[in-house]
Amino acid sequence: MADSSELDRLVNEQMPAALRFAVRLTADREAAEDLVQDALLRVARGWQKFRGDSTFRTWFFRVLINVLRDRLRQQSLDAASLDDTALDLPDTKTVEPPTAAAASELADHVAAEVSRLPPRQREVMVLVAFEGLSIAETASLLEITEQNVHATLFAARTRLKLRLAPYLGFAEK
Amino acid sequence: MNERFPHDDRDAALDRLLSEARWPEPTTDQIVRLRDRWRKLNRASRRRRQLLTALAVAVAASLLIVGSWNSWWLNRVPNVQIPPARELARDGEDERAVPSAIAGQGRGVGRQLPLVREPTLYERVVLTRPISIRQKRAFPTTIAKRKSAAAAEARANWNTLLAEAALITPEELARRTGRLTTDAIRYQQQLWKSAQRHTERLIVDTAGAIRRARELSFASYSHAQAVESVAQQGELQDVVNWLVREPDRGLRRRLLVELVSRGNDESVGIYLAFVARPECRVEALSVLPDVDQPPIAVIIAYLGSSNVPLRNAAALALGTSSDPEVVRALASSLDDARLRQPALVALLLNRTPQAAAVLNEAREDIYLVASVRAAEFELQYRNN
Repeated sequence: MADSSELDRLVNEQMPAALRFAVRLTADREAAEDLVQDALLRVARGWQKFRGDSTFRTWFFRVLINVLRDRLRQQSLDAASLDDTALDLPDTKTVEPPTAAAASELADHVAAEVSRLPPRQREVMVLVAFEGLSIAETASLLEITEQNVHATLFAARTRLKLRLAPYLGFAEK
Repeated sequence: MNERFPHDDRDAALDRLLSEARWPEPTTDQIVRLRDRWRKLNRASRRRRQLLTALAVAVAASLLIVGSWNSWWLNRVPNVQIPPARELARDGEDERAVPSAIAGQGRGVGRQLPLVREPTLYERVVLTRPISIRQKRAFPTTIAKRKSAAAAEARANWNTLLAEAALITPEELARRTGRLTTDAIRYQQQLWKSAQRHTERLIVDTAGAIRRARELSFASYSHAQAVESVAQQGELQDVVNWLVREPDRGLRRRLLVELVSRGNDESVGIYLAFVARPECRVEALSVLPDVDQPPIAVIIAYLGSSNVPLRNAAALALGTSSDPEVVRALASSLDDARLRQPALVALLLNRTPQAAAVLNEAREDIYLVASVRAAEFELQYRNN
């Protein structure tokens, strides 16, 4: 990092992306804003730790994820949402396929389902599928192996396929 | 996505669904609020960094100033010091292992500093206190003991060489000096910081003394003759140097006599400094009768010194003299208000009939009786 003015420029440049990323992780605009505020505080205190090994955007996202994890830890979310293996599957027989009129709400529903994924799966899914990071970048950001990213992504997709099963036929049509 | 995972129809459908996922879009207000928040945070962070930088600069500057002052203070310490108590106290004992008391030779310190005051506590601790006392006794580790022993050995070697310097040939002296210098440098690396400073001073000090001793050794065939040469021809600094190291009591007396006989302010001041030390007092006072013409006027002048130990030493020196001339001089100094009380103390200490007569006369004088009582009280207080 050159100096604080350079940092200022980078933060302002990445602010919309960071907020969008936070919204995808939390599915809530207000919570996302709080999350970004906390992340900014950490950036202001610890920007000297940024060594330039990765892009500033990646580093900023990592700070955001760390803040989110700390919050989840503090709030001690219920065991079901933290358990990666537990699946709260919908009863596909009782769910009616959406009509065309309801198709506009489908996009919101899919987003909500992604944001309801367990934290690690959610992070991987958002980073790879929506932020466009490569597997290697995601592994580096989350400080896990690439195999782990693959496995987590597979688990997330499996979960989403089960949860969105009633809509998959509709999507094919 | 398609390239990374094996796809079936459900995968393709899921990808399509995911591509349509829609989260609430962040508002412009949110972005503005966050940017404003960042600006405040960044400003506070920058101010904190500037404060820390200023603080670091201030600390560095303070350290620099303290270091400079300390260095200046050490360099202005006079090179003539009152000898440590032990140096003259023991009679006939081998004093070669006792560390030097002369500080600062060869450091560019002024030579003509009159000894009109006791060394301060700071000067005494830094420059004259023996290493064995300065080291922490509560830390008797093996390393501490080894370093202490190394320091003692270095001191002993140097003092031995100094004592024998006048007796050996210049070639032998040069050879041994070179070897001891090497040893001293080697010892230095093992010593505590305080001991290192002491050794440095010892090397400089001893080298100076040896150079003079070598010059004297050409004309002298024995140590006693060398001492006599120093007494007769040496500068005051040489006399003091040799005096504090001399183990032989007879030669020490010769040098003390020389100090008094020179009769100037500085030499008498140093002599009185010896008198002021309880350990050296008896020996120093005993040489006064050997002096042909004691510098009574100079000693009486020291009765008016602002240095209390020197003033008391002057009274003591005059008080133990049985010379009638001393009593006469003391009696005449009663007219001087500044000298009156110490002169009366000296007269009280002086047991001669002439002194008693002067005191009786003073007790009947209404202008002096109060001073006599004050002097008696002072003496009684000092004895207690």
